[in-house]
Amino acid sequence: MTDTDNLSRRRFLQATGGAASAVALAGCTGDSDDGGNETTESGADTEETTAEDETTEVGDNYLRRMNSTMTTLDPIEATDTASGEVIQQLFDGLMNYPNAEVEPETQIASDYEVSDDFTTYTFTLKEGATYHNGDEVTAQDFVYAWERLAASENSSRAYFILDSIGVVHETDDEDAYQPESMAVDATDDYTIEMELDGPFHATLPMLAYTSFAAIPEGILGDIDGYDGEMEHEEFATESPVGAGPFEFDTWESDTECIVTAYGDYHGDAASIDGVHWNISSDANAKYTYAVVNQNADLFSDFQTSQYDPDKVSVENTDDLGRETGTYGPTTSDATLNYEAVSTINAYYVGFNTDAVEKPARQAAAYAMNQEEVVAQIFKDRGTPAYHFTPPNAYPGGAPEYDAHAEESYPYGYNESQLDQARQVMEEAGYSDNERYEFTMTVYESSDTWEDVAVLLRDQLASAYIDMEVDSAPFSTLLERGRNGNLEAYSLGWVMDWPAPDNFLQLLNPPQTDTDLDAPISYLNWMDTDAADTAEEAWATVQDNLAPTDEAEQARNEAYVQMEEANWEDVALLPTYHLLEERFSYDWVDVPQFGGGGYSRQMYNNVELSERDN
Amino acid sequence: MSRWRYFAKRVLLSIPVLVFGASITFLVIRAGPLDPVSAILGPQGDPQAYEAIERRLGLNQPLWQQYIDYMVRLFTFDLGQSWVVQPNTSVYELVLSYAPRTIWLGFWSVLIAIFIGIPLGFYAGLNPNTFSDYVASFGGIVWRAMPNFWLAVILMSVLSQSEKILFGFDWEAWLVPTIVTGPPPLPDPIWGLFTNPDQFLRALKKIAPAAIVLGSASMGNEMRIGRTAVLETINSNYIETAKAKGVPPRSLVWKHIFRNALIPLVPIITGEAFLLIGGSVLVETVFDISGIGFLFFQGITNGDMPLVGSLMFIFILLVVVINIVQDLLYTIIDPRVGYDGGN
Amino acid sequence: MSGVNDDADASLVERIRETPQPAMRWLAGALALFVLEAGAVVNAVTGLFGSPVDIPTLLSRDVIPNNGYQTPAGVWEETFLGLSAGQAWAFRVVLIYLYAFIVAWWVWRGYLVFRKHYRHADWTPRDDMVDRLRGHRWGQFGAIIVFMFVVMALFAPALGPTTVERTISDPYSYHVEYYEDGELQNTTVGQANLGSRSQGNPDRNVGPMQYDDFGRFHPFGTIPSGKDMFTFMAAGARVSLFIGLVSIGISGFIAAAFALLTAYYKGLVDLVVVITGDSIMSLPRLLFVMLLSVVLGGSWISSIYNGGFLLALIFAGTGWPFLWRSVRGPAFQVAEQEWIDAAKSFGQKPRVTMQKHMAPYILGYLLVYASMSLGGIIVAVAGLSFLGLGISPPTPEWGRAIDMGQAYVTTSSWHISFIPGVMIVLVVTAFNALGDGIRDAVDPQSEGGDTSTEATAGTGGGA
Repeated sequence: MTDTDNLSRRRFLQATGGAASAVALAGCTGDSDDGGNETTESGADTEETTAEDETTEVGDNYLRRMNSTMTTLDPIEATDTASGEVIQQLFDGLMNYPNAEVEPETQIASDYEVSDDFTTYTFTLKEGATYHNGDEVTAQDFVYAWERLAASENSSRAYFILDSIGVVHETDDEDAYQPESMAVDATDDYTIEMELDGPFHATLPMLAYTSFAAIPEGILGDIDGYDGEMEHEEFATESPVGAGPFEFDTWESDTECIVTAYGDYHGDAASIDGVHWNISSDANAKYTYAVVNQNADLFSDFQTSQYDPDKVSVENTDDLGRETGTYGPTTSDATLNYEAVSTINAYYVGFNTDAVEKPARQAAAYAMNQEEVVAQIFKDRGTPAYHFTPPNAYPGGAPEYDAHAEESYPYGYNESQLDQARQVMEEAGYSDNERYEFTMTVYESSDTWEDVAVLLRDQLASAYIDMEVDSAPFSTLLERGRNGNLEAYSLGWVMDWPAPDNFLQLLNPPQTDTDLDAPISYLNWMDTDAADTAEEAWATVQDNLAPTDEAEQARNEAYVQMEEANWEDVALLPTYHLLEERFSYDWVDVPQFGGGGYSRQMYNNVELSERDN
Repeated sequence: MSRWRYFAKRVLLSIPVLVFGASITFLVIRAGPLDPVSAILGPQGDPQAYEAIERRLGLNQPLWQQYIDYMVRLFTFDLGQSWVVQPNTSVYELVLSYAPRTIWLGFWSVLIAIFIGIPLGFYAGLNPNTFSDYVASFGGIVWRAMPNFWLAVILMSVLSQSEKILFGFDWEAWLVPTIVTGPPPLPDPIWGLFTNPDQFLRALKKIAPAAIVLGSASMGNEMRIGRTAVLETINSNYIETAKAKGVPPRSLVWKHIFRNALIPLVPIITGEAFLLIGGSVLVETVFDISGIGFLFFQGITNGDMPLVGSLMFIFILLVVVINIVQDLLYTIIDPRVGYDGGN
Repeated sequence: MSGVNDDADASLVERIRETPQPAMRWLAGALALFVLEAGAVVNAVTGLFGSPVDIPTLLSRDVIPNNGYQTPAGVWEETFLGLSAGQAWAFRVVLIYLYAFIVAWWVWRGYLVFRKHYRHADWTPRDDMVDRLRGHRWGQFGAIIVFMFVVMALFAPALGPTTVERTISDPYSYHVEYYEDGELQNTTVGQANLGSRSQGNPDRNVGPMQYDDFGRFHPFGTIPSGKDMFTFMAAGARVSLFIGLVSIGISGFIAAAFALLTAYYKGLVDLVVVITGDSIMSLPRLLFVMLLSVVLGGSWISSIYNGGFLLALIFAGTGWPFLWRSVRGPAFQVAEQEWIDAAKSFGQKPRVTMQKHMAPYILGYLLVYASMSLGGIIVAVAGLSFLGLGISPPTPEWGRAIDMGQAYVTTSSWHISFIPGVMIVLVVTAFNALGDGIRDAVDPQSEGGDTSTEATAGTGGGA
């Protein structure tokens, strides 16, 4: 299950845990769910065909999906995959990840140019693309939508455009964004020009994020200069207007959501009449809905307890490392089509290095056998992690990832070395009478992390370490982390853009200082040789951000240095990379999804034939 | 003291109870470590964003100022907006969309309990010390002791795969096809239920397992009381007299016994309100019904303070009102109850 | 018949000196019983002051070991008398319960001896209560189950087929031996646990009364992490009982104190307590407990006894008004009695009046509701840990087992949820039955009583 794709990718992803037990689209994450690798999302049951439930009857030619609790349909506000999957259907942007593959292609843009110094991007728009209200999509709409992204109080992703891409802008005295100062201009109705502070290699992938989607200019009044045609709440929950292949129909929270095909779509119009999501957050309910009752056509949630790894037969692995095959027979005697993609994410145990001393961290690394964790706790629905950078984003791709880990991972590749763990603790002066103590905090929405933590706790108990396992709501965990009140903690990171720097910024020592107002990781990793190495390597990355081969080569070397520096100090202990799976019945014809994760796939290319259940 | 003065006193006494209850809630949610700003922002937010959100939510005010705002808002029924669970949505709206399911659930859990519990109790009382009495009594007691959440887990799992376990009986396909978990299909507007029998049946079948679980404790109690009331009445003198006069036993039962059983039933049914409010969290979680209890639990685990505070206030209000109604009912049904406040 | 000394003021010691024989006989028996378990007591007491001292104890796992391995020839090594692991375990369990029941019976005999030979009065009202309880089959059923539950909690370390230490808290420091491919293998318990997980698939499951691949016997099967469930349940019984007893102790004390004070002084004091109590009772209890356990989950109290102490405090803080309500009536009744007025007019101190004359009267009622509330608290604690609140893992708690097994109810690993549920039902029913028994003994007229309070008490506020 390796992934050989080393292209840069981006992805949105999922992971959940955050607000409302939703899955985060990007960035820090926790997976929820019952244990598996499923991370996520999705929901359970809804209705239909066989009847039932409070959900609306939809026609036969609707794709039936499941989803978990959604929070909002405003593209700049959503941070979870559940909302993201629906938003992806409703809104179009300049760029898109085709079938969630991470190499972006143009969507509403017909063409783009980049200046030689990689700081000025010029996009040309398709003419005649329309919103669901009939208006045409113009360059001014993008300027408006991006201004909202940067300036609206409803925006959760202002840093995407201001910091990650780094569009030129002004700030006020308090270092906050000065509204309307961004260097994004509509030079005519169909041309947009954007100027960056400096080169950034992942600009195009980033623009494929739905946060950058077009919405009609002036529809909302949450930024200066616009009164808005409707309240934000109405837009976000009842009448979102975008230019995507599907039009919004209904959304009833925690129950269902329906979108219908938009006839005047500028791209390939959908062959299905619409999509129906049944919303629930209960893993067992989802299993019953999708597998037992066959009420979902295409789904990713498969309760781990019911999942039998022996029923998977993989028939084909493509050059992106994506597996296809079958799963079955299920309890309903059906055989499901199976797809598995190692999407770009990493889940790890973070250590506050001020609070947990190095021998204990090393002991934890010795004790943990990542492969065993994946096999036993995840029933093989993941990939053991030795680097923080996921295989598909690692310089040289999955083969290089594996080779480097096998050769150089200092704490036992695929094995648990408890003797070494004891030894390193003994050398530090610990014994049965002098035991070391620390607390590991896991977030509540995940059962699997608790299992992992308990396993680690059990192992460390024989290495003179009493590790207490504590669980906290996701928000509390982040708050405590921010204040430096965590000792060890579990978290995940899902790509903002599919390159190592997106991950390794968590290992850039200055950004791990919990004295900062907003550290991105809570490691307090400073003042050691390894930390200095990592800091220098990060500086090298920052000096070589241009999208050229030469710069990439320099970056790649620095990335590996950072990984090795982390191995030396075990500031964070990579644990696993999630494997995203999707199951479908025979009557569904859907393109394979890519490393961006299934929630990024648009369903306008899905076809349904007659159901036989 | 007249009935009305007694009533006025009850209402008056409930005001400090409300204030006190709301204050305790405020103390717990604002002084604790639940932090909605982090929940909204995620780990990457910059300090300006943090402060901006803090300002937007009014969390930068001194605590006493927040307290006054909070109390004033609650008592003017301005319940505010959810911050985390469903941003931009007023608590009213959330309650309006989540509550009907819980009410539907509660309604049936009371009704099913009464319709099964009381007749069973009467039956046991009319046949005292027989085998069926023992079976019914013991069954009621055990039934009552079952933890709701466990019963819910077992019932849900068994029903959702009933064709495999219950000798081919397929609950999900029975009468009308439904699946076991998920919210009941309540039409909008709600009176659609009464014009469309199919819809009504579907909504009822869907909620039945959860309602039985939630009503289990009351069902046991009602059975016990029904049995005791029958026994007491049968043994009392006037029944002997009536019997001697040749009144048929059936009308005896219904005329005299039922009235007697009614009095102790009042606190059982009102008491069920408590069980309902508490039990709804667990039962709704297991059966995946997006009702008020589920909403409350989401609020707690996500640090959505305004939502939790407002819901708590609604619950307290509900409990207080139910208590007053209960006392009032007592004075109406049972003339022996005094108005002195004491027990 | 009473003893020779009819002097009402003679102390118990004096009376025993008078007729030492029955007392001595009883004491000898008690001593003999104690010696059997003295090792455990010494171990526990010395454990409080440092490293525990180990003395062989009859009923310990060292004397009757059940951990061993089976050779390819089918012979068991290292187990007690070469019995199979399961038989050795069952033998120990039977012995322990036998011992516990003998002790209980001996204590009862002690009471009878006391009553017959040493008590001054021939008859006290309490004798009637005891007699009524003796005739109360339902209450006795409750008492027996409750007793078995308490024994399970008390003897948890000796009852389990393995110990919490070995399998739950430090499995990688212990080893198991087993035969595989004709050779004696040695691996850590943690590693073995990974191979004996119960995860729903028939080939990944160790059910009740089964052996795993390492020759270990699991009376209740294993939980999803591969740890022995009986050990888990026995340790969980301790946690539940601890929380229940502590919280009932605290809230019972508060309730009794308030009831006495309000009944004695009435007026404003009463009003204040009524309002405070009503306010707390008007908070939906289970929800409020959830809220508190989340909010206080990060505080230092939550680290005491893995969050158990915090839960006990929360339950005490939210539970006392219910207890108080139930004894307020009787307290008022007794305060109306003439002898209370008499005591007042004699100038007896209020504290003494309350303690000596009023408290004994309400104690019975308190016991009734305490017994019923205990069941409720056990359910509520289980409900909280079912939701992932309260007791922090890996500390065993019954509700967590139900939660862990929730996904497996209809799979081959059904035992994980089912068994703890049945045990909760049994224990709660027993506490209710015991409460019924005590109530009927204390106050035979009160058929039914305040059922709504009981209903709420007995079911943990809806959990």
